[in-house]
Amino acid sequence: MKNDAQDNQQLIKFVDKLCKQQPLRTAPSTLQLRVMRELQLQAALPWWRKSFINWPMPLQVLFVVAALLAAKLMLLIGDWAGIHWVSSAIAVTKSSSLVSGTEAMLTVTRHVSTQLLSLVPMSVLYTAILAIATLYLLLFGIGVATYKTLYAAR
Amino acid sequence: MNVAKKKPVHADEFASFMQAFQDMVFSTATRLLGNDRQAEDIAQEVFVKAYEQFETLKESSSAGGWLKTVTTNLCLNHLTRYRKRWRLFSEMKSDDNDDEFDVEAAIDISGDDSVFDMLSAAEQQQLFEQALTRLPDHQRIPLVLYHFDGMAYEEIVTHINVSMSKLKTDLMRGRAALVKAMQPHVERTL
Repeated sequence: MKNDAQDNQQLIKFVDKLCKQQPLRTAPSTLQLRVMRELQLQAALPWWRKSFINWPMPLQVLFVVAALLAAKLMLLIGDWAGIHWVSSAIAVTKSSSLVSGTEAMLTVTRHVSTQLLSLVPMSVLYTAILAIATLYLLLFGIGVATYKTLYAAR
Repeated sequence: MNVAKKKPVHADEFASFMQAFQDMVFSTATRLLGNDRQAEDIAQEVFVKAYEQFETLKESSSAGGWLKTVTTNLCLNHLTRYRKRWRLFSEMKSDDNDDEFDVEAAIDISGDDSVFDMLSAAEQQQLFEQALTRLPDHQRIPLVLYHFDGMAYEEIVTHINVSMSKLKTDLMRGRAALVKAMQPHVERTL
């Protein structure tokens, strides 16, 4: 038992020394060119294709304001739809608070989904589910075949 | 879109910065991933990120550490993202059975150093890198994190999300397999 532990310690030291002795691998000569090309590509991108933090400040502010207005608009639409479509939502949508608006939107979504589903014949629904399951299995099969072809031999 | 004419700001300075660190970044990536092509992709991603932080990094004494950490994290993310998918197809069998382990045969390092010292540095490196690349991911990754990056067991466990006992077993087997893979070549050379 003691010998095993000693052997293991010896192996750890040996591998550690071996690893520490190894010089760095030389990076491919193409790396620097690739990085510079990528940086050039990124520098040439228009502002609207860069990440949000790289947008010009006025546009960032404008975007936030527009997003808030859009959110408010959605809540108002939720309120309006709640009043017109769902009787149970009427009481809730009397105030235009964030919570009531969201509740109304959820109620409307549920109501509309139920109505849409009731319009679709069951046979069509089952066929669609079967088709999705078949496609998923096909995708899984392609994945397995790709793995076996490209990676399994590695 | 004309992209060729726009030169990145501080391009020359950044090129020197890259020159200083690119071997370290590439070595870290290729040892973790076991694949030169993927390592080059990761190294590119690391330096693009470094460029975004270049104002800070160019003055910093810890730039090397920053680059190494980012490289390690990107490699581990890459491995988590892609290898887990493949594992679904390929490694449903137990990891413990796929690499027959023979400690007695593997740990034959008596009179150790001199055996490897007989080889030239270049031969030794080539042999070592080949042996390392051939290790399965679950042995190579902890081995690199422990011996090259100097991470503690606890840190590695958190990074690669395995149990402590599995980590220790994989490390032990990885070390033994590494030495074992190098020994025949050394003996032949002798």
